This record gives sequence, structure tokens and C-alpha cells, in this order.
Amino acid sequence: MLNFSKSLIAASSKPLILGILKEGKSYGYRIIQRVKEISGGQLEWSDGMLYPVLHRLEKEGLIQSQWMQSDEGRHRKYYVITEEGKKALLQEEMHWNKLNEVMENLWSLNNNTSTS
Amino acid sequence: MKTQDRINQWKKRLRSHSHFDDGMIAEMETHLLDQMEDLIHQGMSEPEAFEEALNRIGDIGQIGKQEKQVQLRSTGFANGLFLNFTKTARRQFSQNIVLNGINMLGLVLAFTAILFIALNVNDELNYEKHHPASDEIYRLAYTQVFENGEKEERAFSSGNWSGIVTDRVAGVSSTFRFLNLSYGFIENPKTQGFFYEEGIYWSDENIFDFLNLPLKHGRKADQLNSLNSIVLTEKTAQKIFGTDNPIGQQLNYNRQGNSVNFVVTGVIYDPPTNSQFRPDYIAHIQAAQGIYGERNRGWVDRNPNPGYVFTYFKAPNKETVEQVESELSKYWQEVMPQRADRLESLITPLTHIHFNEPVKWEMDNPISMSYLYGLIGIAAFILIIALTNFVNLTTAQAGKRQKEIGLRKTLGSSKFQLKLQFFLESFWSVLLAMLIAVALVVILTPEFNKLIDKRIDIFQVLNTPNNYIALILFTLFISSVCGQLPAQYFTRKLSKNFSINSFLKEKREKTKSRNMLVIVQFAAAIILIISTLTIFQQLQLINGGTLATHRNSIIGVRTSRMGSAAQAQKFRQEIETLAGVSSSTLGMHLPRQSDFGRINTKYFAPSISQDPLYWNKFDADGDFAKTFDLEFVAGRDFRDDYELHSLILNEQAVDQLGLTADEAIGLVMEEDSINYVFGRSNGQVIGVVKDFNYKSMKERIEPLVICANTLVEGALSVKLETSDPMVQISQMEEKWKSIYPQRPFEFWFLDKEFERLYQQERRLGSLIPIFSGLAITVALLGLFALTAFIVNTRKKEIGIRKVLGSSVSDIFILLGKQYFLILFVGLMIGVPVAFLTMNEWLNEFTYRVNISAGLVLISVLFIFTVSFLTISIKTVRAAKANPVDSLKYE
Repeated sequence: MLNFSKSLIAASSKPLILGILKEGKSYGYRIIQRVKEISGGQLEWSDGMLYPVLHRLEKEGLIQSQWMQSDEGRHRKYYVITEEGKKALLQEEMHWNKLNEVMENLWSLNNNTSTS
Repeated sequence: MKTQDRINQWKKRLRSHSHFDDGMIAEMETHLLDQMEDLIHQGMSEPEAFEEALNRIGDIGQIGKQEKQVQLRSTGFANGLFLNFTKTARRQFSQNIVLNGINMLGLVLAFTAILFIALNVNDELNYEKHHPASDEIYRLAYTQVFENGEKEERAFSSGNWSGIVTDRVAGVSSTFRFLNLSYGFIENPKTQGFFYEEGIYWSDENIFDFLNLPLKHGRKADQLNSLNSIVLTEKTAQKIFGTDNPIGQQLNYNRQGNSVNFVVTGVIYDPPTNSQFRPDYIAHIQAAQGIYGERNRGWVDRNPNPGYVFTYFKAPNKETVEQVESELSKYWQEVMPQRADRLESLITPLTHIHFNEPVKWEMDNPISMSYLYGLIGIAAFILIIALTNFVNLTTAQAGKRQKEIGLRKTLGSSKFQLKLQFFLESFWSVLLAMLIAVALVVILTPEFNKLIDKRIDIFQVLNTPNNYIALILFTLFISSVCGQLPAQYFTRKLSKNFSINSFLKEKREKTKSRNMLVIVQFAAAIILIISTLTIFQQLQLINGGTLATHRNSIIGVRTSRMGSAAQAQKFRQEIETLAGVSSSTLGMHLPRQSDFGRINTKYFAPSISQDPLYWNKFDADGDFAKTFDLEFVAGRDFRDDYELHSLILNEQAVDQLGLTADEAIGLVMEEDSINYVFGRSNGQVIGVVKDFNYKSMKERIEPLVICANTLVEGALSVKLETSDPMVQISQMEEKWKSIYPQRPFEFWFLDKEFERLYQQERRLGSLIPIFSGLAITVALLGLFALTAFIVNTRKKEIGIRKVLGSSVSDIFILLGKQYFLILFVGLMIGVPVAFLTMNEWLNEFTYRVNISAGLVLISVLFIFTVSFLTISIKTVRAAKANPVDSLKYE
């Protein structure tokens, strides 16, 4: 498992959560599980820290929440992405792709100079 | 421990953190359960799964911090929550207008009182602080040591000490002196107006560098640029020149036949009342030389003996001050070895003079710190009472607000938001009350100034930015205190694990703490009442005494320094022919004040002992005892022909001789005084009078000799027997003009003298009843509102009780008894505190009242009665109401 820095985790939490919610409504525990799945277990959060992030996104109007009873009878707070959230996700996607591109270029440049 | 219990414990920990609201706790609980389920599924035991799940959730403190930031972000103006709370606050206020109005009135009254107290205390604490580098200024004065070892501290110095100090002590950067000749006549040659003036400072020209005396008219460079320059205050300029421009006008100064001609070069603003430097005129110190004639030329600068010169110097530190002391005593040894042992230097920081024990010839009455502590104490009491009211009345309405708070919680309000809401609600009330109070203070300051005989400039106070900061901090502090307690009450009440048991427990706790608050209120109220009554009694005592009995019927007329003793006698004889004048006497200025010089005289009673007796002595003519109604315990008054060498003693003097009053009659006393008009002389005791306070009541009555003397010309005291003294006064003025054509007629009622004598006590006497009245009003308002509210909430209970057969008195007892119990406890706390503090204050006086049981009883009865009435208004009405009205709608 990689040890990501705190700030990197914080920065990536928004697109991750929005991305997961774009797949459909979900709740805190499930979101954590999904992050693990997607990252192949490489990315692991301190579970509790998810909730302040969720609440922040809700305050920003990017997601909405509702208490619902699940199939097995447990009450859970479900989150869904809003239209605004979808727009924000697109923007995040663009930013991260761009950043990725920049990084790719940088690494290849480094590799070329080190091999030449 | 079962896992479920451990989960509950964990939730409890979350709840203790103010940023986890119930929604978030529930959300995290489901997370924990989901996680545990998965872990158990993977083969862990339940306790293991719980531990692991907790571990994965992470540090609660960190999560709470993050959540707090999210909440803070959402409480800005932008998302309207603030406005919403404000709106709720307004609605909340108008919903219960009587209760909240009373609450608000209480706050306004309390803040007004506190602001006035703050103004006054601030004014006193800033005494002399307005001068440049005031902390570095010291007054150089001396202590006179008498033959018998007694010491007397005096505010004066010699005019030449300042030069010695500057020459010999390197650290002293500058000095400044002024001479106060105590009186003189100022003439305006244009109008021929004559004025008797005492406030002339004959000063070094650097007075304007030392003291903050800003100019209104004229240029600074011109102020004392020649020996003929004179500077006036605004008030004096107005008195002498009216509306004319005073600059360049001529004035003549006259004293005992010598005169100086002046040209007005400047007008300064009237100095503030919190300074001892309050000159009416400022002239050059060297100009005063003209008054002493050629023979004494240069005495101010050369004479090493202390005279009427006030000296100040600037020193950067204590070492310099010590150096000044040692250099001065060296100097005294050099130039006047025979007197040096009788002198000690007395150096006081300028800013301390006002708070030190008074010394002789002090320019202003010092203040005792206990006076300021007393005022601050009252302010604290008022604040406690008002805050108690506020908290009580806010939480009393709890029941009515439960629905609103519940709704807010359902819709997702966090504890933090609820706290913010309560803070804002109280903030608006406190702010509004504060604004009204500030407005009241601005409007009422002129009246307040009159009351305490000061000139506090409210606009200058308003112009000081620091005062606003203090006011804002105070408002915020009060709002958070007012908001915190109700918020805690509600947020605790609405916590998730709500059960009927915890509800009852909390209710009990709440009632307990509310009772505590009311106890504090009553304790504060009783302390204030007892203090007020005690101060009143003490004031009555010091306003009493033989002299004070006639304070309104005795008029003083200044004859000293107006002319010869023969003129004074002539004036007295003419006055006595007027109808309405019962008697008059030429004698000392009474009541005797410390700034009138020494009346201490050395006597011997050769037939008893050779030891000297240091007694006070008054010269007076024959009607002295009669005019002041002195009571003879032995012997007789002077005969009409004023036998010279006859003496009247007081009881203290006779006691000191070890004689009875009767034995003292006929005793020959020898007076040792070279200045005495008849030289060293013998006198014979012809009468003994009862002791009377011829000085302030703060001072012990000392042995006194009244000596018959027809040549005395201090002040003429005239006793009137008339309902309209102004008639006699105008007749007296006519007589005056025929005898003293060139002198102003100056008179005063004895009353005025007492006012000067007890200025501080009078200030206290006029302030304390007002402030304690206010405090008690605020407390009663609170009590009224609280009873009104409680009666209202128990309406149905009262109805049911009445249906079941309770009588009006049963109901009254039911509602009233808890208050009387509280009141009783409050009194038990308040009475001893009041007793101790007032006893401490009274100890300042030599002649003091005692705090009697009667006084305490009256205070207690007063509190009981007004509380009883306050509670009765609402309870009796509730008890009398028809139960059908309160029960029918259900």
C-alpha cells in the first residue's frame, strides 16, 4: 500500500467522492469501500475523516443527503450528486487530466535526460 | 462490558464534542456497525471487530476539528443563517414583549449605571495623567518635625530648592515652581471692577511645558515672555472681560498696598477637574517680587526656608529621586544647620498625590481608594443582578421554545449553530441595551457632573478609540455570558438520549441554578441597601454637630485682608443694628480646614506642670460662643467688654490638664507665641465649653483655647433669624460698601463650608443611593417578570388545585414560599458581607456611627416588603382567577 501524503489525499477526496456518487446514491461506509476497490487497496483513508468532507460538499451544494431505510432495515444517510456536483466533477476531471499530462511530460523528460 | 455498552460509551464521547451533532453521530454509528458486520463476517469476534472498526474510523478529535471548519464555513453572512437568527431574535422579542421589555429595561438601567461609574472611576484614575510625561514628575515638599517629635507633612517647598536640585543632581532634567500668595485683588481699569482672587499662580515660564494647559487665545511664545504678562482661564476671562477679546487688555493686581500691572497675553481652556492645577491666572514668578518691596527682593530664589512655593521636578527613575533627597538634606546642613534637623524632604510622584493621605496645604482634596473600590463594587453588583435577570428570564422561556429548537435540530442544526443562535439573540439585546445606555449617558452627563461637582467631558471620552474597543469587548463578553447559559441549557436538553429521568434531573438542576442566581441577586440587593443607609447615617453624623446645626442660618463674610481690624469691628457693630441679625462674631474661619494654616500654639499651665501643651487656639471676640451656640459646662462666656486675657477651654483641654471643668476655672495659662499680637501673655480660664467639631469629623477633637481678642479680623460670622436671608444680605452689602468702598463683598453660608469639607463623602452620598436604587429596581423588575412567567406556566396547575379545594392563600403560599426561602438565604449571605465592608469604611472616621441591628432590620424588612409586593401582584391575581378560565380550553 502506498503512503499518500495528507494533502494529496485531501485534494483528491473531492473528485473521488463526486465520481463515486456519479455511479449512483451511496452512503459513507459504502463510499469508503468503493475507494478501496477502485484503488485496489492502495488508497486508504481514515474512515471518520470522510464525513466532514461529505458535509462540506453538501454545504457547497455539490451533493445532497437523505436518511433512508436500507433493504436490511438499517437507517443510513444516503448521498446523491447534484447537477452542480456533476459540473464540478467535469472540471475536476479536466484539472486532474491536465495535471497528469504535465506530470507525464515531466517524468518522461526526466527519464530521457537520465538515460541519455 | 457488552459491545453495545461500549458503542454507547463511544457515542457519549462523540456527544461531548460540541461539533458532533446528533445526525453526525447517528451517521457514524451506522458506519461503525457496517464495518463491524463486515469484520465479523471475515471471522473476527465482536469485541475484536469493534476495536478494529474504531481504529479505522480514526481520531475523533481530528474529525471534530474538520467538522468544525465545515460548520464555521457555513455560518457566514452569505448563507443567510445569520439573518435568520436575527429575525428569530426579533420575533422572539416581540412574542413576549412584557417579559423581554422588562429584561431590556433592566439591562439598560444596569448599563447606564455601570457606564456612569466607569466614567467617574476613569476620571479619578486619570488624575494628573494628562500632562506630558506625567509619570516622571515629582513634587518636592517637606515634613516639619516639631519639638515634641510630632511631624506635619506640608505641600510647600522653598523657592530656591529647585535650583539646588538642578545644580547638584544630574538626573533632574527640569524643574518648575509656582508661588501661591493665597489672595489678591484684581482690578479691570476699564470697568473699575474689583475681584478678590485666590487662584493666581506666580509661576516659572516653563509651566506650559510641564503641565498640559492648552491655549485658547494667544501664542505660546508670548505667554510669560515678560514680567507683565498674565494668562487667564476661559472662565476668568469671561468673568472679567465678558465678551470682549481679553488679549492685550490691562489688569492691575493689588495686595497690601503693593501692585503689579499686567497685560493679558493668553487665555487657556479651563483645566479639567481631575487635576490639582486649576489656576485662574498665571503670572511670572519674578513679577511677584514687586509685591514684597525692595527689602525682600529676590527672596523667592534665595531664601532656603520653606515658604509658599510649590516645586516639581522631572526625574527618570527612583535613584534620581533618592539623590534629590540626600542632596537636599546636605544643603540644609550647609546653609541652616540649626533648622536642618527639623526638616525632612517629602517627594511624591505627581500621579500619586491624589490618592495619598492628605498633607497640609494640599491644593485639592485627595481621594481614598476605598471610595473607588466602593463604586467598582456597586458596578459589579449591578452587573451581576442584571445578568442574573437576563439568564433567568431567557431560560424561563425554555418551555415555549422547545418546539422551535426541536424543529431546528430536525432540520439539521448543529449544537454549534444553536449556540451561535443564542449568542446572536443575546447579542442583539445586549447591543441594543448598550446603545440606549450610551445615548442616556451622553444626555445625562451634564446632570451627572452637577451631582458630583466635576467636569467630565463626555465628547472627549467618545473621541478616544480605546473606549470603543472596551465597550465592544464588554458587549461581546456580556452577550456570550448571556447566550452561553441558555444555549447550554437547550443543547443539553435536546440531546439524543432523552429520557424522562434525565429530563427531571435536568429540571431540578436548572431550578437549583436559577435559585442560586436569585440568591445572588438578593444578597447584592441587601448589601446595597445596608450600605446606602449606613452612608446616609454617617453623612448625617458628620453633617451634624454643634457648628452644623446652624449651617443654614450662619453667614460668613470675609474680612481678613480686606482692611484693618478696626474696620472689621466697625462693620460688625453696624451689622448688629440690622433687624433679623441675632448675633455676630469676628473670629476664625469655621469649620476649620487644613488649608487655613496652623492654629497649633504652645501653652503652659505653670501651676500644674512645666511641660508644654500643644493646643489649638482661636482668637475670637465676645459673641463667638453665643453665635455658634457653644454649650458651657462650667464658668461663663466673655462679657460684653471682651475682657482681654480671658480664655475659654474645651473639655479635651481640661481633660489633658487632669482637672474637672469646675477646677479649671481661674487657672492661669501662659501662651508661648512670639507672633501673638500682645506678645507672650498670660490668660485666665473663665469658662469651659462642651467639645465641638471645629474641624472635619474625620479628625479627632483636639484641646482648644478660645482667646478673647477684639483685634481679630478673620471672618465675620453672622447668625440670622429670618426666613429670607437675602434681605439682610443686601443690607449688609450696603454697610460693607460704606466701610470698604474698594473691596468686594464676599459672603457664604456655613453650608458651603461643609460641602467643601466632605466633598468625597458627599459625592459618595449622592451617587450611592442612586445606583443602589437602580440596582434594586433592576432586581425587582427581574423578580416580577420571573414570577409573572412562572405563574403563567403554572396556570393550569393552579386551576386544578383550586378545583380540588385550595384557597387563595394556599396558592399564594405555594407560589411564594420558594421565593421567601431564597430571599432568606440571600439575606444570610448579604448581611454579614454588608456589615464587614461598611465597618471597614466607617473606620476611616474618628466620629462614626455603628451599624445597628435596627438598620439591618429595616433593610431586611424593606427587601421583604418590596419582594412580597412584587410577587403578590401576579400570584394573588393568579390565585383569585376563576379556574374555569385556565382549564376550559382542554
